[in-house]
Amino acid sequence: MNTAPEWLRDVLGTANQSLLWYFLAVNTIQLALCLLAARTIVRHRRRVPFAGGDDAYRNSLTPPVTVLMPAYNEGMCVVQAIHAVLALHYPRFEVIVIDDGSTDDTFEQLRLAFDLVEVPRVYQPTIPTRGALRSIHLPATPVGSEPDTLLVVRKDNGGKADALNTGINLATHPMVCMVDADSMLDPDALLQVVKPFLDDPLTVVATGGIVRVANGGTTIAGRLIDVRMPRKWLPRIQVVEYLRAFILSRIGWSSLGGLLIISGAFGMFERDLLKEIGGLNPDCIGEDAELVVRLHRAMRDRRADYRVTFVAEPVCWSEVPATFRVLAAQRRRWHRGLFEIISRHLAMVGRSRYGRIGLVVMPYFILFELLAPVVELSALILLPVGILVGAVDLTFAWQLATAAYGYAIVVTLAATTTEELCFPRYHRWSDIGAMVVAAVIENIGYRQLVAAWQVVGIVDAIRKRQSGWGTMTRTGFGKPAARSRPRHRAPLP
Amino acid sequence: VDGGGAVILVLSILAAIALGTIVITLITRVVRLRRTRRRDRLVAGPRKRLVALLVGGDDGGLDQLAGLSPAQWRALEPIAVTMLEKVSGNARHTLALLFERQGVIARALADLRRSRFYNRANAAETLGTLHCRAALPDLGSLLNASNEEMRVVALRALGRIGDPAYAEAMLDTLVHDPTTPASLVAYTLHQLGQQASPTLLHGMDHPSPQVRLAAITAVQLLGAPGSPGVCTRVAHALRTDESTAVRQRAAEALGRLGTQVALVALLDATSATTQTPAVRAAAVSGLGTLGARAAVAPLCVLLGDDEYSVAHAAARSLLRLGPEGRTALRDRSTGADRAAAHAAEAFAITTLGDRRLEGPATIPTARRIPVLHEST
Repeated sequence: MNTAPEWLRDVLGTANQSLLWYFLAVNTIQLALCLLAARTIVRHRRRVPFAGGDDAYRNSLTPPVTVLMPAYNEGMCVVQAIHAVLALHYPRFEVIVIDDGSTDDTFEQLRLAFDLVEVPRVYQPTIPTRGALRSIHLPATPVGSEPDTLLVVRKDNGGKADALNTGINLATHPMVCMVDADSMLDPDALLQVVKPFLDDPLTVVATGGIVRVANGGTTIAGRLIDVRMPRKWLPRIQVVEYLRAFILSRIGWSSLGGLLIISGAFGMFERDLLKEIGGLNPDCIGEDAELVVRLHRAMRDRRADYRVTFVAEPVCWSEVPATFRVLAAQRRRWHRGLFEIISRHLAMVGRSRYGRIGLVVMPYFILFELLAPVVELSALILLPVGILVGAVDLTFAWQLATAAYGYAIVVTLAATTTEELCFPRYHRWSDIGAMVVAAVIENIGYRQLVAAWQVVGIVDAIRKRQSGWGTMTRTGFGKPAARSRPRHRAPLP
Repeated sequence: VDGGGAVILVLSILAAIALGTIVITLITRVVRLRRTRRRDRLVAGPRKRLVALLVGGDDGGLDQLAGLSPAQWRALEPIAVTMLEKVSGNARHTLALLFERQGVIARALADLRRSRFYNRANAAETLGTLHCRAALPDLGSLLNASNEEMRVVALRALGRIGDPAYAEAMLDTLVHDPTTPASLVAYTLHQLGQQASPTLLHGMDHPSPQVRLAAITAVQLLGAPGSPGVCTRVAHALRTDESTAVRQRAAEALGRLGTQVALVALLDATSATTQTPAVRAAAVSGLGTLGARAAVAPLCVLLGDDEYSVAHAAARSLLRLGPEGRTALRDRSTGADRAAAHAAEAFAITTLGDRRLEGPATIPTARRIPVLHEST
């Protein structure tokens, strides 16, 4: 193969050199974000004794919150999730569950668990919605301090964004917290995530909280009481992946004032601001991230002084895919969402008007998030071909592998160490061993597989394939509640 | 170093770092476990003694706890602080005495003057929790600290200690730094009690809208007019203040103050010609909080208001006006207009309340009203 033309060897040599620098850059940035996150978490924890958390609970001026929980075929876990939310430590809040035309027993589970009755409601669709509202229900037996602490809305299927927009229209409180129906919040999560709004009410417009993996833990009454590493390796790998890529990375970006993604599983926003910017975009798959980008854009266009922050403490626990099929669908969907967001807001890139979001964060997301799977897979092809045609030698191949995988393993291990130092939740010794092994598998094998799915996601986005709610096969958080005999209640006047 | 050597070197460094991170993780785990076990061991006896002391069953407990070694006290202190926030009366006094005898107050007073932010902030928090009046001058001067967080911690500490002499200085933090949360200032001012009313009254005339907002909010939290003229002044703010936020808060406050002056001012503020929708909705809600039966008829009219927030608030306010309000809602819920829709929504909640009290067997067959759409 050394008979390959000179130009081909040159091209492959340059490409491989570029790959080396690319991997060095991406891993260095990840490591820097991890270190920044560690610094932020330490600062946050040192402030806890005098941060006035208890005052926030006692203060009747702490703004009431509407918790929005969209649900589509979540019969397995929606009841537990609501119980967990209703048990939150927060002065005043309402929970609106939006059943987006589920085809399973989601509503039946809710009706049985909370003894729901249909009530009339004046609906003002400030944000236009697609799926028609069918009915609104309240529990006949009290679940909170107010009669309408829990509100269940049934609507025609219109997608998650549409369900959330319906919830925003119905929200009666000034703050809106979006929570997934497959998630459980820690008791103080709501209080902590609203804290930045209390401390800096004039500039904070949105906050996000940490989302961690619930698989493998033990739950009682909708509360995760024993956190442990999942038994299956696929969720285990996602534990370390979440730590590095979603938790520390976002805390790091937040400390730089460049938080671009607040997970739909746990984020808080000002209701009126959401209405002003038109709510979530039902045409975009990554509706949660798109909302934050649009929020940045709107605030920068207004030249407003604002902040979008990520709170290092509160924890939302979410079930992650335990099978390759579900994981593949999820990652295709996420990456397609990222592609759509970037393409919709491409005009922000490189423009000083959008500050560090346009000049730093979005270029980073294009280069090191959107294109990462393409580069990842390219490396798997270009390196062997380069060796075969003599464009690169084995020494270089080792260098590239070290930069791409060895360095990445170190970054992931640094993330797990940060977890142990700053907010340890896994208390068994075996969990540490599992995390170390998962850190290796995540970078050698898992990452490449995910990259392949992500590339398919990009192709889906380019071909504009139809997409609705993401499908997720749930195992539930614990034993499902015993089903009682259905009782039928007359609707209210 | 040739190419192969360089690769081996880099790989070795990476392997060493990876190993290092694992070792740090393990050491962290070991240290934490040992520390937790040691703390549990140290605190086991003193904790029981502390509980016995607080329930009044251990006469010599205070002396014993005051004589704890520094290590034992460090282990017990977080528990004692948590208890301090939960107990009152004699138990609180005894606990505060224990802190004093352990030298906590003396150390915190010294820390208040140290240069490190964390020392000062922790000390201010401790002294505030202990209601230490000796710390008032230093805490007062920290209200002018250059560090914004320090000012907030000092503000909270002063609120807990509750000396009205510092009310003006606390209100002035909003003048020095308008980004200080007005709600926090208001909350800490209300902790000072009715004796702060003259300062609040004065604050309502301040040129800064943030100060006026905080003053009126504090009055709202206090819930009763402490000084003559407070209610009239809040009513004046509702009518004339240039800031919508201040007028809105004035409407909410008047609902809680509960006087004839409040009723008249709130009814005036429901007018679409003089106020913004947000203020009108707040005034309508205020009428519900006030609980005056005289508001039933005007609220019935407001059920048909063009503004969703006003009509919605009118329905909810009628819910709070007792049998008269419920009867009005029931009467207005028949029909197909906007007012009937809002009345039906609120009346359903009262029916739901009846169901809860009476049980399913007594529920009459109810007429179904579908979701009512209202265009924007």
